[in-house]
Amino acid sequence: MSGRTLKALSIATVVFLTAGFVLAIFWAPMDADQGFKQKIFYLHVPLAIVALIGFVAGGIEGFRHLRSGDRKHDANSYVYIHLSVVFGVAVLVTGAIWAKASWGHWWVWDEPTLVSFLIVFLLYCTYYPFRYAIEDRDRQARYASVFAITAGAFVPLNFLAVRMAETLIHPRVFASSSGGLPGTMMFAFLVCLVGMGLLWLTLVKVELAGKQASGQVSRLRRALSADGGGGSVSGRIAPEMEAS
Amino acid sequence: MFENVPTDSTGYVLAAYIFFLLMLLIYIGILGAKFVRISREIGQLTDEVEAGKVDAGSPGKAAEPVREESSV
Amino acid sequence: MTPGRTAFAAILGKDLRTELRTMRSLPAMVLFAITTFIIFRYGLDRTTLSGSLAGGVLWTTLLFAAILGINRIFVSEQEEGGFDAFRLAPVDRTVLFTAKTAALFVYLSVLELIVVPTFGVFFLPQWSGLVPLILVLAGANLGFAALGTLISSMAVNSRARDLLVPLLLLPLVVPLMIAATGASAPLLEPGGPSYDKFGTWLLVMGLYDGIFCLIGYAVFDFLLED
Repeated sequence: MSGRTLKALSIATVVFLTAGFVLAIFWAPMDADQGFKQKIFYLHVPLAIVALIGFVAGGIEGFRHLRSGDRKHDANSYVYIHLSVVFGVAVLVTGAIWAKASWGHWWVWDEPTLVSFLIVFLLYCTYYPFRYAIEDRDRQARYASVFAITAGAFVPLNFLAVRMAETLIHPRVFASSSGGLPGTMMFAFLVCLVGMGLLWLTLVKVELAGKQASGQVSRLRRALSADGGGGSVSGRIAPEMEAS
Repeated sequence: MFENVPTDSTGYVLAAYIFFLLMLLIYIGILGAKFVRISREIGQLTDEVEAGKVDAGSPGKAAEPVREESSV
Repeated sequence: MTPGRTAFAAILGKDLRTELRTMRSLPAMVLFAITTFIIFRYGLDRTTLSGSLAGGVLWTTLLFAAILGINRIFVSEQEEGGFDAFRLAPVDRTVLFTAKTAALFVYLSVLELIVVPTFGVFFLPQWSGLVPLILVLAGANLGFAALGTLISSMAVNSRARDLLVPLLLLPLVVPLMIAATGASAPLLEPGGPSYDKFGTWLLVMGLYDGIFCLIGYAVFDFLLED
């Protein structure tokens, strides 16, 4: 795991995120009907898009794991899903704040994208207890990959179904925002989106590096106590990284 | 106590961005804690290895059963 | 008959015969559903239901009754070494998936055969909507069966077996439930069935069933590995 990539990624993340937020708050024009509170969406939507892509990427890594049997893909799958769940928390909270600002309630059932995201989030929350419930490492990795693939396929289906169920004519903020966005807003939004994507990638790298370090420490431990014959019990639920 | 909290749009926007910042900081904190723990373990292991080298002549050095802490 | 089809028939036949003889899951599922209807009658304080309320009550009840059956679909394999026996047999492993899915589909259909008329007797002023409802029930059954088999096969080999199925299944079937209730609610209107968006919802269910049947078929092999 190259330290240089991580450094470059982190710097790029900081640059893009800061630039994005500055542009969003100070440079992008005020939204005609929503006013200043529309600025939340420069934070909320990139988080959501990146999280959803992350979930699907987790499914792809799950597929690669089943195909190749290489545990590295299982570790990737876990980290992608884990980080997307964390981003998902941020999506839901910022979404709730925006809902409160727009309609006076912390939650609204009328915004199909938000509801869809909640359902997806709940599904991926079950990933952790699911992994934990399977003791055998190999089986756990395989089953987790199956889950990642199934859940990844579920994401687009879910959005379709929820959108269709939406009967109320609602200010489609996201469509109107990304469809009829004036150039300046779109630019600021894209910078934020890239920034969030870079943030996700940076955190993924950090998590994977951390896993690798933990894995190496465990292996060292096992190697050392192998002389004395002491056993080690791992209470971990998450996959370990094997070879570096 | 909360008279100065802006309850209009600005307040909500600020709250959202601050929440994001908070999550980022908490995450960095967790990373830091993980790093500290790994450093500690590496320190322990280094001590064990060096102790092992010191009495390299004595075979069958009893090693304590090692229990790993639950971690992600 | 190819070995695949013989195996399919054998497994399906064994499951259905066992269920007929031991009555392990179906009575519980049916009783559960009927009791739930009674609870709804008092909880909602209504003696007739129509439209989306009827659809909601019916589908919630069917969903939870289905979970009871799904929990038990692999129990005999788990307890009596059927998985090992199957691994040794010279058949394509996905046959187990298709056979179990078919068995679940049959159980759910039998469940609905009893429960839906009961629902009609309890709550519906008129039954004309129930005939097109059969299509919706079939679509939902296939989705439940495929996903239920997939998840149950993973859950049966894990610790919190009974918890895992509802935990994983419930979020996954939300789109299916949205489509099922969306299609059913207009059918159960007091004035007579309306087919508002009926075709679209059936299409969504078909898409859902197709995707998850395919996924289940594709990944089941990996689940059976030792």
